Amino acid sequence: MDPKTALTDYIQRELLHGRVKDLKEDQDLLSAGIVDSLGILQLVAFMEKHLGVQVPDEDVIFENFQSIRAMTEYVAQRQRA
Amino acid sequence: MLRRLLYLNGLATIAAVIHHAIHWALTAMFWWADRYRSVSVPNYDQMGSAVYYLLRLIDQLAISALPVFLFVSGFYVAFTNKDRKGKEAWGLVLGRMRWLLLPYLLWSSLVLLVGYYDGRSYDFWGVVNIYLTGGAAAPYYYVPLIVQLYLLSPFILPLVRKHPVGILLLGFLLQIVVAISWYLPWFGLSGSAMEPAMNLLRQWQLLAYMAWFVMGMVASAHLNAFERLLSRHGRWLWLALGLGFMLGQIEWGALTHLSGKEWLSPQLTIVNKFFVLFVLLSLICFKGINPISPSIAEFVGIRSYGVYLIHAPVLEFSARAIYHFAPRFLAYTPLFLACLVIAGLTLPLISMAVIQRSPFKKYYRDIFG
Repeated sequence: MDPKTALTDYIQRELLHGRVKDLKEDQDLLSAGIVDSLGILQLVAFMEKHLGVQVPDEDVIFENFQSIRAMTEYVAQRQRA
Repeated sequence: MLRRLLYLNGLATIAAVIHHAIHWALTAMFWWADRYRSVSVPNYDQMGSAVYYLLRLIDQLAISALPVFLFVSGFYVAFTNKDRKGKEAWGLVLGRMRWLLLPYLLWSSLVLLVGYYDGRSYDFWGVVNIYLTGGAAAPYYYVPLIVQLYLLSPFILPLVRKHPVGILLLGFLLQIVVAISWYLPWFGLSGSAMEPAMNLLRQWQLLAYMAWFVMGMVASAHLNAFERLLSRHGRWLWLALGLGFMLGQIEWGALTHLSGKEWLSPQLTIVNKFFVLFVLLSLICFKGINPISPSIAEFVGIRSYGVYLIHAPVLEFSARAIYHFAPRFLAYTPLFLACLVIAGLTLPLISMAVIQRSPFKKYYRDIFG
């Protein structure tokens, strides 16, 4: 599964619990209340376990988790590094 | 640092369950002794026993729960609102509060309903008071407290950025003042003129605890300086922990004796406030030291609010079930305590897992936050 689909799937299942069916790639997850600080940590754990990227502490910032597009780009950047 | 806070959140959740379970263990020891011995209650034969002091030792560590929760929340608030101001910052605060208040109102209402069917009666203003002060269950005072802190956070954050040391000192000074308001009657120093003011200080949890929330905000807003400070002086924490623990025990013993009570909450004593500070700083500083497995703590940490809300009625139900159906078990205090802690942790986690896998999963956040 590609990172974008995997992340969307994870957010819908674990953070939204199926409440929202249609999650947009550029939707601000923080302002929408979908992701908070705990949610970011869950996403970090998901990325490390299922997408094979290590997320250093200094990268745990909202800008990298603001939207599905931001997360997908971050994962791609980490996978290239 | 953020990841360490998830670990601390989980650890604090477990500590909170232990702390509240200890209250039931003390109830069994003093007030339910007639269920397993031929005595009238309250009976204080077990005061000063080895088990009594075992509970005391465990509780001195377990009281770190609330300060850790508040520190983590303050850190998260400052982290979330780093580059946000005005309407945006308020939007985040109010959004977060929705997921705090909805589950709180649900579980408070459930507890009140059970109490009503159990024969308790409530009038309208009594119920309003209960919801406003977290009176449905003893641990629920945390929710009005954290709501007040969230509402104040947009005002506190600019002060934290500009005057971190000043606002920290103010917060801790308020804590000491509140602690002194408890001490005065124990030393026979309270008078009728001061009593209303002293009562207000004792009841207003915000003053007693806001320093921890503010400390979390300061740590987040000045993270590099905070980490440098810890790294430079962290080696003294071992000494501070040992001294704080010993002096905390001594002070508690002396105050319990002075007050004439059979038990004082260690949260009320001044030395223990410093001890808890050292515990918190140690847990942040010594990342390699994990009292429990990180995977367990992080698992619980993600579900901390739901566990916190549900554990209170679970503990009461479990304790009363043992009282009625297996009273002899009350005599074995450590086992009774262990039983309550296991129930207080596992039953909430199981119910959260069940809802997550059920057709009701879309209401998960409404129920558990």
